[in-house]
Amino acid sequence: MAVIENHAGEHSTRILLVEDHASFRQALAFMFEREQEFVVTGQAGSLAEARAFMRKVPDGVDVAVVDLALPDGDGYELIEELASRPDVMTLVLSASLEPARFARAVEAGASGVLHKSAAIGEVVEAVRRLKSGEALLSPAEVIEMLRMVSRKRQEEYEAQRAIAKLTPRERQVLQALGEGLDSKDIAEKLHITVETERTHMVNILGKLDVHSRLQALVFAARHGLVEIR
Amino acid sequence: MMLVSMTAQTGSKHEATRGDTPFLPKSPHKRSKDPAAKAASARRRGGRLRVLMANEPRAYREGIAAVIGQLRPEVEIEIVEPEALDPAIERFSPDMVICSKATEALKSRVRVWVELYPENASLSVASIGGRRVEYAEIQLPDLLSIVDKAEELAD
Repeated sequence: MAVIENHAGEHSTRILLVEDHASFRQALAFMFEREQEFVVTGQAGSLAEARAFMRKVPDGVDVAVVDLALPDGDGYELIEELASRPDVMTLVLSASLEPARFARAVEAGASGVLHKSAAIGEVVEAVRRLKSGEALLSPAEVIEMLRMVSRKRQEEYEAQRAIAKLTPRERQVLQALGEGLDSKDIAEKLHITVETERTHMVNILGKLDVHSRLQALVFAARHGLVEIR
Repeated sequence: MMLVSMTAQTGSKHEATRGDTPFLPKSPHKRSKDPAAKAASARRRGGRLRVLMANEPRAYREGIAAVIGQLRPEVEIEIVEPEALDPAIERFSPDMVICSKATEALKSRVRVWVELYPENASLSVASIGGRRVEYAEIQLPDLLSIVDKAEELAD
């Protein structure tokens, strides 16, 4: 993978592309470069390459177009690092279908977010609007996104508190549930009576604040408590 | 990590470059004697190579199509949504297809195709005249090279 550097004219908008799908990144660079006002000063396929570029050319970027899913991690930290530079704006361009990921990017300091299902012309136009000082997101959209991040964080906090209340035995019951076992099989596997298994399950449902075995299983899988086989 | 310097002098403003190497000169013209290639050639309208773009997401589809259109202006390009791949093969009779998921109709009717980033993965797969090629990290010049090979096969 290559970090590609280019040198800009005095009045060009300097763009850094951070995208691991090289053929798309190169096509995007081509789209920007054919517009007189843009110059792609850097291309990176990973967070490490983007950071190396920023170290080498600290004043070489006006707008960074950043994918969120990169081979060496999510783009959030990079967005925070870029946001700490007053003259750099970040446009997130992601294929993620999770609004919470876009919201998290805005919280990290992204000036705009676009889904990759956008037309290529919209991407170019978004960078143009950012550079001209136009906001891509309305204040109401930003507030809603920040609320979403806050809600997600609260939900995760509450989930972790609930998980911490589970006893080792209850975790074993959940794991057995994840293996597709019913009450009788779980009881047999753990050498307990079916009644005891049911007592464990009632306690699990109460602690996780869910209402069925299925919901408990979904909760456990979502938070990495069980491995579904 | 490879670090490549590129200056405005070495790279044209209007022709994308990779390092200081211009995007792929077209490969030497070779005429195929393969009967299937002749059949593909017979389908071609006005002698132009036809490339169908049906990959997702849209930004990839349109961006790559724009580059092929500019750097290979003799190519006729059609862009469709991925769901429209099979009917588009029927209607457009492409010489080459770029898609995200190869269908049976594609495999049986098109000699050159690329499954680009299937399920958003980094691995891409191409079939070039029945030869399967895997790309761990396909580059834009690779795609242009496949277009050129499709042209050779179609001639």
